[in-house]
Amino acid sequence: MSKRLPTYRPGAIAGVLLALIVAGTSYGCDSPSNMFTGRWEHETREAVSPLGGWPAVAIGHYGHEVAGVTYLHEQGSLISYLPACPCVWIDHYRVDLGEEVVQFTTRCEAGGDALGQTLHWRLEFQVDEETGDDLLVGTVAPEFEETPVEPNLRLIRTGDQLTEADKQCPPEDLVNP
Amino acid sequence: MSLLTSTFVGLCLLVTADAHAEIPQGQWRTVRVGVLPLRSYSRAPEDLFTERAELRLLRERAGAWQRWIEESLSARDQLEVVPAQEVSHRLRQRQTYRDKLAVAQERFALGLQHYRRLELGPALTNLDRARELYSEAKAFITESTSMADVALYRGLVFMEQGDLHRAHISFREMWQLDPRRRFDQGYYTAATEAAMGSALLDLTSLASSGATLPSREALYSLARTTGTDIWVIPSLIRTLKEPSGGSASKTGSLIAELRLVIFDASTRTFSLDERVPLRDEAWVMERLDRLLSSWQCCVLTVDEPIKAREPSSAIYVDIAPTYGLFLKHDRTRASVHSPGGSVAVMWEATPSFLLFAQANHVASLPDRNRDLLEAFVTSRFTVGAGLGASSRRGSVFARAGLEMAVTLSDIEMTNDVDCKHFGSDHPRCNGVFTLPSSGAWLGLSFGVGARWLLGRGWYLQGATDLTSYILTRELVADLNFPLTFTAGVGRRFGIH
Repeated sequence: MSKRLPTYRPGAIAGVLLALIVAGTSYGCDSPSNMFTGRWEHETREAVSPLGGWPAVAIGHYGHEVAGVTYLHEQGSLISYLPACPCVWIDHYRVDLGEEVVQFTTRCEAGGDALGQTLHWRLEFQVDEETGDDLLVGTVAPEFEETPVEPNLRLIRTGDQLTEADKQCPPEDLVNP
Repeated sequence: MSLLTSTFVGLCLLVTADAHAEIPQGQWRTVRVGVLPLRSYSRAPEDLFTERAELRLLRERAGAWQRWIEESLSARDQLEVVPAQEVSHRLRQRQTYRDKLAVAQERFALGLQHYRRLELGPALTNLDRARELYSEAKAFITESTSMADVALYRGLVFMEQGDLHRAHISFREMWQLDPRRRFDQGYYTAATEAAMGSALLDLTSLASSGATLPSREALYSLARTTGTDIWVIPSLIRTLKEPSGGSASKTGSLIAELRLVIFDASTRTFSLDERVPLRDEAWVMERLDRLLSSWQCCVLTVDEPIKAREPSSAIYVDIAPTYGLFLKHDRTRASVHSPGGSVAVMWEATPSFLLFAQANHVASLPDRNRDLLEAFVTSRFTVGAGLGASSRRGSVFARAGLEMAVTLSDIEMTNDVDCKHFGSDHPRCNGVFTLPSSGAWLGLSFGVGARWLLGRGWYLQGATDLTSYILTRELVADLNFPLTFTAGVGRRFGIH
C-alpha cells in the first residue's frame, strides 16, 4: 500500500507563514539611529561660559553623523539672541553610539564666541530619573583648552521633531521679526 | 531566424522528453474469482407442479456446467477461484451479517405467525422488515431459499389483500431467488396458482432479456465483503428463436441457452455478457473456453493498487514575503534592505523542466546612516525557465530569466550629512545623487529554490535569486545585484 504524505491543518500553515512574515519584516527593519535628534535647550536661562549666552541646539542625527544649528540666546531671554553670534553650524562631529556621546565643534564667523575661536562640545545622553526627561549633559570649552571636569551644560530635549525654523541660521524670527 | 528556430525545437524536445508514460513493471496480480450458483430460468407455467424430462436433463447438466466453469477458471494462470462455501464462510464470519440474519429470521417467523392468524397488516410489516434485513446483509447467495420464503409469504399476503400487482412482483422475486421451487397442485387456491404461474412466465421472459441479474451495488458490496475481485454469474435461460426461411405461418421455438455474465468489482461493471446455445456438450465447452480466455487476457493487471491517473504536468501558484539586499551599493555606506512581497506562477511542463513568471513589489528602506534619503518602491517582473527534480516530499529547482524592474519613486542618495539635514538646495549641501521616477532596470536573474509538500496540493517554498542589472546605466553602476530571499506558501494544480 502506498504511503500517504502527512497533511497539515490550514491553521498550522497560516502560523508558519505569519512567522515568516514577522521574521522577514523585523530583519528588514534597520532604521537609522536618531537618538540625538531634536531641539535641546539649556536647563536654565543663565549664560554659559565661554558661550556668552545660553544655548539651544537643534540636532539632526543620522547614524554615525549629526548636523544642525546651535542658537545662542541672551541671558534670561527666550526670544533674544546674542547680537554678535545668534547661531552657529555644527561641524566636525563624532558620534559614539555605544557610549551615547556626541561631540562637535562650533565657530562663530563674525567675532563673538570668545573672539571667534572654535569651541568643542561633548554631550552625553542621559535620562532624568525624577522627571523622565531626555538630557544631554556635558561640556563646552575652547577647542585647545583642557576640558572642564565638571559639566557646564545640561540640555533638555524640548522637541524630538525639527521644523524648518530649527534649520535656519540666522534664526527665522531674527530675519522676519 | 535559424537560431530562434533551433531554440524553439530544443525547448520542444525538452518539454516532450519526459512525456511518455512508463510501462508498469512487476508481478501480475492474482485475480480472485467467485462463481455464483448457476440458476435456471427455463421453466414454464406448466412446469409449476411437475418437472418435464427436458427440464430434468437441463437441471442435471447445469451442475456439470457449474463445475466445469469453476475448474476451467481454477486451471488458468493468475486466477484464484473462491468457492461458494468459502464465500458463505466469509460472510458468516462477520458479526453484522450474523446479527442481521438472526433478526431477519425472527421477523420472518413472526410474520408467518401473523399470517396464519390472518393478521395481514402485522404479517406484512414483519415480512417487509425481514426482506430489508436480508437485502442489507447481501444474503442473496447464501440465504436465497430463506429470502424466497419471505417473498412467497409476502405474495400470499398481497393475494389475501386483493393486491394482485404486488403479489405478482413478490412471486416473481420468489422464482428469481429459488427458480427450482415446486408446489403440490391444489395446495394453494387456483387464483394463487395462476398468479404464481404468471409470475414464473414473466420471470422467464425477463431472464431472456437479461433482467435477472443482482444489482451492481449489491455485487460490489458483496465483493468488498468477501475479498473477491470478479463475480461469474452463469444461468440457464430460454429464448424464442424465429423460424428460419422467413415463413410467417411457422411459430418460433424456445431454445435453451447458457448465459455467462462476469462482474468486475474494480470497475463496477459487467465486463462480459454472452449466451451460448446449448447444442452438443463439446461445442458448449469450447465456446465457454474461448469466452473465458478472451476475458482473462483483459482482466490481468500488474500487482499495483488502482490509483488515480497522475497529472501530466502541474502549475504551482505561490505568494510569499520577500527580503532583498543590494550587494553593490556604492553610494550608501550601509546595506539597503528591501522587504516586500511576491506572487509567482510556475508551470512544471515535465518533472524536470519548468517555466515561471514572478512579480515582486518591494520597498527599499533608508540604510542606518540614511545615505538613501527616502525609501523607494520597485516593481519587478521576471520570466524564465528552469530545471528541477522532484520526490514525494518535495522538489528543488534552479531557474534563470529576464527581469525588468521599475521604480515608482525618486531615488536620492548622498553621504553628506548637511544634505540630509538641510536639504539638497542648502548652501552647505555638496550634492545628492538623484534618479527621478520612473527609473527602469533590466537584467538577468538566477536562482535556486525548494518546495516542501504539505499535502492536499499545498506546499511551502523557499527561493534565493540574484539579479544582475545591465540598465539603467546611471543607476546600476552604484546600486546593483539585489539578492532576494523568498519564503511562502503555495498551491499545486495538476493538469491532466
